[in-house]
Amino acid sequence: MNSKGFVITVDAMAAAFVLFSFLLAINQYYAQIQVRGWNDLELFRFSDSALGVLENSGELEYAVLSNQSTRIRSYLNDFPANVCAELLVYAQSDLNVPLLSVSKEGCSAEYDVRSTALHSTVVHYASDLNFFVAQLNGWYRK
Amino acid sequence: MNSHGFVFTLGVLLLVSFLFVYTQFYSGHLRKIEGDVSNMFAHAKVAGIADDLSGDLNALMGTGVWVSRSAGTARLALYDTFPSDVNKNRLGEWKTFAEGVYMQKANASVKVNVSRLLDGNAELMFSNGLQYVYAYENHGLKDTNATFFAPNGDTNFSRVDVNIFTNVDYNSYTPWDWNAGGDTNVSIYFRDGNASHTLSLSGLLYSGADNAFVFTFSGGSNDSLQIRFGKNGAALRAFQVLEGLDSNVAQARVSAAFAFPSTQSLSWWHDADLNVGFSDANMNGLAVQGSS
Repeated sequence: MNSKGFVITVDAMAAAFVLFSFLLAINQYYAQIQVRGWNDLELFRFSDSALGVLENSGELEYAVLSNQSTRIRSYLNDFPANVCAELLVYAQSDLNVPLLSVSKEGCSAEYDVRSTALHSTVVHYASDLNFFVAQLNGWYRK
Repeated sequence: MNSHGFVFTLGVLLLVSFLFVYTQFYSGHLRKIEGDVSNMFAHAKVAGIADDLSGDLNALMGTGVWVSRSAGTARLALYDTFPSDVNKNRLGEWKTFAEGVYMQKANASVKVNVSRLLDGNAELMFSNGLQYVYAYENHGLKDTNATFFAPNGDTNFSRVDVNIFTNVDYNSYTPWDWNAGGDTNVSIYFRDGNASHTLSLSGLLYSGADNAFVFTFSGGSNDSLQIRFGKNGAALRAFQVLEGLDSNVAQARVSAAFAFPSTQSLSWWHDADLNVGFSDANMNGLAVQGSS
């Protein structure tokens, strides 16, 4: 009787172990997918916010007028280590070839998901007025 | 043995059924979260575009607004240039850009209505009923004026501080009639391109009168800049800048701070409509510039 009880207990424990292993595996699998969705949204918000900082601080206007990308590259290089980014600025006359292209140093264009934030930018030059589209692509370093 | 086999089979079936139900539940839960994230992304994108366009509109209009509030009192500062750095008629070009190139690149629906700003009067509206109207039509970039007032009402300004900078030298000025029994504290500071030409005056003004402070420049008698405060038609305690500078390169930068009683939060917007849509998210409303 004691022996049987022992076997049943071990059997029940083994069954419970198997069940919880399955549940854990399922949870882990789905949790990863959920985290990825939130991360993509956060990456978009980060990119959009970073682009807003570049626009509102006048750095975008300076880069376009001076054709200098050093300060923007320095800004991108200060992004968190696991975030890669590139900034592209298009003149309104040509949305295919960027007027300005700056990438964070040490990043390669390898990603599963890339987030894209866009801002329209008004640039004053003397008494003239020009419109540009700035695009900040962000992705997690692999 | 048969009995054991039955129990075992039943056990496995129960386990598999439980796992199936569990994964289905989790999968449904995941789909809901994915839908929520996707929806939030759409809303974040729409909000970002609307915010971006509002910022561009503000940059084109060139009017700066700062508001700070303490117990019962708000302090509102306005900054503008006369004439503007950018001809406000060019808002039409920006609208074309926003609804064309930008919309195409952003893959979103963008509709901008700036017609009420293109009629010669660019309005900035405040939630407490105050209006700032910059009039620019008929003169292109010349002879502009701006009025900050409560339509058919009283702004209740208790204090006004005005700072003026012009890039051309003034010849003379005619101050307004300071009134020791007045009801509004006013200070005025002026500086022109000549560093020695500074002027700093302060005192009380009677708000029931139309008080005018006039600076004249080297051109004819109409080559002037006027700062007016007081009664303006049906509007009481209205503030106005009338620019009549003759030189093509002349420009006046005016900032003015106003103190008035306020117990509620304040928001302000340009009298233009922004409609942005992406996926299921839409944002339709006025071009809000800020709140405090």
